[in-house]
Amino acid sequence: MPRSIRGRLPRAGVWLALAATMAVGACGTKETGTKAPTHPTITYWSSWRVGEPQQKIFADGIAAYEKATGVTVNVRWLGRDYGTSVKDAGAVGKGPDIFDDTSDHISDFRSHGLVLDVGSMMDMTIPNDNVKLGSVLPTAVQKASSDAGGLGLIPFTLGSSGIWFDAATHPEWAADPPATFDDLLATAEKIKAAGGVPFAQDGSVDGYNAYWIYWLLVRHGGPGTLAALGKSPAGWDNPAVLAAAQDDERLVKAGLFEPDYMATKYPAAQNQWAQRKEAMNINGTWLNSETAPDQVSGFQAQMFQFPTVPGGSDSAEVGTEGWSINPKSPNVADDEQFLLFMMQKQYMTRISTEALNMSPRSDVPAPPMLAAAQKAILAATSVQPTDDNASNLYSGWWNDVFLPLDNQLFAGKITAEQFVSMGKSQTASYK
Amino acid sequence: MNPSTDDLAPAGTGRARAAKRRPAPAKRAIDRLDGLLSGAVKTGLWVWVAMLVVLTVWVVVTSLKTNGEVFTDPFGLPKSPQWRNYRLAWSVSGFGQAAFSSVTVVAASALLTMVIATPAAYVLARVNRRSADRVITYFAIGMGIPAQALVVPFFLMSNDLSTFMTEWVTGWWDDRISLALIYVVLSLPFTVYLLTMYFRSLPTEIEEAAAVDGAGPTRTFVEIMVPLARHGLVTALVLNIVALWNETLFVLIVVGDPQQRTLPAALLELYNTMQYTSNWGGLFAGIVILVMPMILLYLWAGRRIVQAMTQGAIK
Amino acid sequence: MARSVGGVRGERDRIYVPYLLPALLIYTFLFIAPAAVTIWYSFTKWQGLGTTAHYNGLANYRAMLSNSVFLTAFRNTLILVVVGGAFVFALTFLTMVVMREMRGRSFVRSMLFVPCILSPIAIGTAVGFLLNPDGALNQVLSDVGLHSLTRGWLGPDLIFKCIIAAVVWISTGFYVAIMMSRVDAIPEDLYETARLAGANRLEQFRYITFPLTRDALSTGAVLWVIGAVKTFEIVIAFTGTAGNPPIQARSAAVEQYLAVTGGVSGTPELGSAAAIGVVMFLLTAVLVVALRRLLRSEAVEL
Repeated sequence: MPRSIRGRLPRAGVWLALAATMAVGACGTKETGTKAPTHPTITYWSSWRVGEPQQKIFADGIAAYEKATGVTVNVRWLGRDYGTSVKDAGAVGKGPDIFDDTSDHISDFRSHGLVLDVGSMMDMTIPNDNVKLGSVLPTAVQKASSDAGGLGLIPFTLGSSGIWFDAATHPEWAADPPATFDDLLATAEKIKAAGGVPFAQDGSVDGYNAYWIYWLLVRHGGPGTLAALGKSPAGWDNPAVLAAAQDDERLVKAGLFEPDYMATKYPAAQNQWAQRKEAMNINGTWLNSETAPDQVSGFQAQMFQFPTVPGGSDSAEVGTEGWSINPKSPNVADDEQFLLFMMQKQYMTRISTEALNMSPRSDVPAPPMLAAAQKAILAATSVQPTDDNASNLYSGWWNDVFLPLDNQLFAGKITAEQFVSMGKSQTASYK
Repeated sequence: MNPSTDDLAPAGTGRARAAKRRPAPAKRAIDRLDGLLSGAVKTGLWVWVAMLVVLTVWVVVTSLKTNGEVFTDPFGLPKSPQWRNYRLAWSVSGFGQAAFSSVTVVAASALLTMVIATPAAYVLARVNRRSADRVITYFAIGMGIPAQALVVPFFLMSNDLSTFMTEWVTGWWDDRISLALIYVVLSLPFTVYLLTMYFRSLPTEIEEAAAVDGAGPTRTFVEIMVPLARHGLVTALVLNIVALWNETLFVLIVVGDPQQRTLPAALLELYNTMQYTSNWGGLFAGIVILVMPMILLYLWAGRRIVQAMTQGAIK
Repeated sequence: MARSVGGVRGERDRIYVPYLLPALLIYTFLFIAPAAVTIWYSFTKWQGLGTTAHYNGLANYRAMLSNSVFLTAFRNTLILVVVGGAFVFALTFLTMVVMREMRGRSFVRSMLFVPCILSPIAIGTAVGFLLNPDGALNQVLSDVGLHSLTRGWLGPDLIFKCIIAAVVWISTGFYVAIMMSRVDAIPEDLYETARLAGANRLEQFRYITFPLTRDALSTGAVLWVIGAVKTFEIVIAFTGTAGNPPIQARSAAVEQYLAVTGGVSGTPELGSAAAIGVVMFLLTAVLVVALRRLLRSEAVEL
């Protein structure tokens, strides 16, 4: 009798379930058994989504490379959540040969055994252009793309951050931006007095709020000042920290942001900036391309460098975005040839002209809105990575101690002095 | 477990007490307050319902607007309905593929859950053994274990399964099958518990009559109990479908390829890239695509759920 | 009669094991065993697949107790369970008082149920859009002359209150459905007798409805605790994933999600994540046991 349990009425259910399972199975199997013995296959997992400018540029490059060499490039356009997929797949030996990486995530991917030292590629020649890769990548860019384990990625974009404005309504800032932080505050006060709102801020993104304190810290104390805060409680004793926090407090107390700036539904504030509701927005080099669809007609997004403070440092920020090679890739030589192909001037120029980002190649001019940033990077005597590398080196502390505390300062809940004393004690008690 | 007779006693005495406790004038004042209060609550309930209707209509209307209209005129009607928002969401943002994944994965796992859980619940409800009560408690514990506690092991297991099947058995594997299996496991405790309670609420006389007629237990189960319990089964099925349809965490963790992911993941992905695309109309179209099937399902099965609950499914 | 009942039972005993076994085996090996594995991971430091898990004893649990971020998330979850639960059941009781005799009650009842069949991601995305500083809610408040009531709803001060309100709004319909299904089973003549004796609605609720739905209340409260401890998606949908959700808005489940993924910029801590999962289970267990003591009903099998 028990043998017939699965008979009768549940049978319909079993078959329905089976049929549905088969249906799922039947159409998810395209990429299996695609072994191409004659030519190697390169798998590439990208952080771009179909339709984005970078995706179009890379897809063109990939098509040209496949045509030229007969190699198949198996690409997955995964979008911004690609990182976890790469690490998880890499862990079980099914990782891609090449994947997108950023300078602040090299160490993270490297700790998962996914980052090959590509320093030797600097001596290799880019096809068609016939120049050595190392000769078109500035040293600052190479340094920014490296960690303790060597060069971690071949960059396709340079990143930085600064203060964005509309050059159509404020042409004076294009030529002559506020030079010091005091100038910036005075300029903002003038806009406020005239009934305008100086700064747009997506206060619900804690990392964007931290742009202010990060820049003030490196301006007051030079590169490494912010990173030192995560390293040990002693870092908080540096007088530059209190000075930076006090400037941050002045900014907040002056009421220069849009109403309820801490409560925005991201990306509401940056889109309002693109609608000219506010004059400025502190953000990364990507802001223009992000807000392009929302910009009112005639809008000319431009970025100026974060102003200096008296007696402070004028370092520049350099971050990179690029391709990392998985050391477990079966054909590293092909991977390298593919990346050299992609680094051709024809594609890197389009990063500037179509994706409106800074190309890493020194012989490709930045798009006009980022000219100031490129100039600052090329002229900089000292550079620091994004967030002074603190978010990369001390990620747990960054998320659990620093960003929450900065949010309190930035919301006007605590004073600069409280920020420093609480920061010191919380850093001491963190883990 | 038996309603009716036993329960009536305390209510009866309560009623008696209530009736003789208070003198008339004070009571009238309280009665007036009582009327006021219930009027307020009824109004509140209608406002509540109205909010829901307004919100739904607003989402649907917004899904037909251009980006500009979404911001400049949040409550107006679109000048011309932007059906392309749906077209774009369906094809470009991958909601079409995601809808297919959602339907197949949810259907397969919800049905398989029923096939496994129904016989177990039946015997647990009907067999008079000490161990049955313990097993019920054992299943109930699972309802209290947050699914998050299983994220790490499920991730490892789905990877191993995929590798094993690809290399040794079928030569291919699809993460969505792993996902469906995980859904079956996750739905099991709740379904077994719910159905056990439901079977217990059903009268035993019919089974006994069937036994007297010489029907074996399997025939009794399949031909009598399952049809008799159909309201409870439909309720469990629908509740599982709803829960799985909206499940997001495991899709993101188990299914590596975004193109194979289900609708909630597709919506989250679209939302995450809003700052790059600013396709707000499309976002709302995505919300509608995700939500509409559940509303339709509810329109069809809602009465049955309420009915089944009335019959004691959840007690 | 007695003999035939015995006969049925004997027959049923034979199918007991084969009917039960598939479910029991799957549940044991694919649900309970992995949960046990999680307990083991909670005693390790592990930064994700591809790295090695090192045994480190109770360090994850100790770190949790000294980490103010986790303690806030944990407290938020407790507040959500207790305060949110108070609102959910207060609203449910109020509804029970009037719904029996309300016009259009079956319509209202089925409408109230709708939010809990909708994806929290979808609800959070749509409602979050309304709560933006220059979003629809503030615009409406300004337009009707209540400008002083406009707020930064999604800011650190209010966001958690908004999340609780959203959870209450989403969940109440479910508990109304459960409770009303029991109310429906109460014979109408009880109420009639009560009315004849002069009992008003509150008294009818106090002496008839409440005592007769105690068992359903007990089940409902347990289901609420289980569901509320897991609160996750609605927070993510309200705050987006561009930044980490503000500490004020995080639930324990969100904190665990951040530990699994490493947050916006960070390294996964699967050991801590597992420990948070264990703590969430313990919280659920303690609350369920406490509730059962409190409501003392034999009807619930938990």
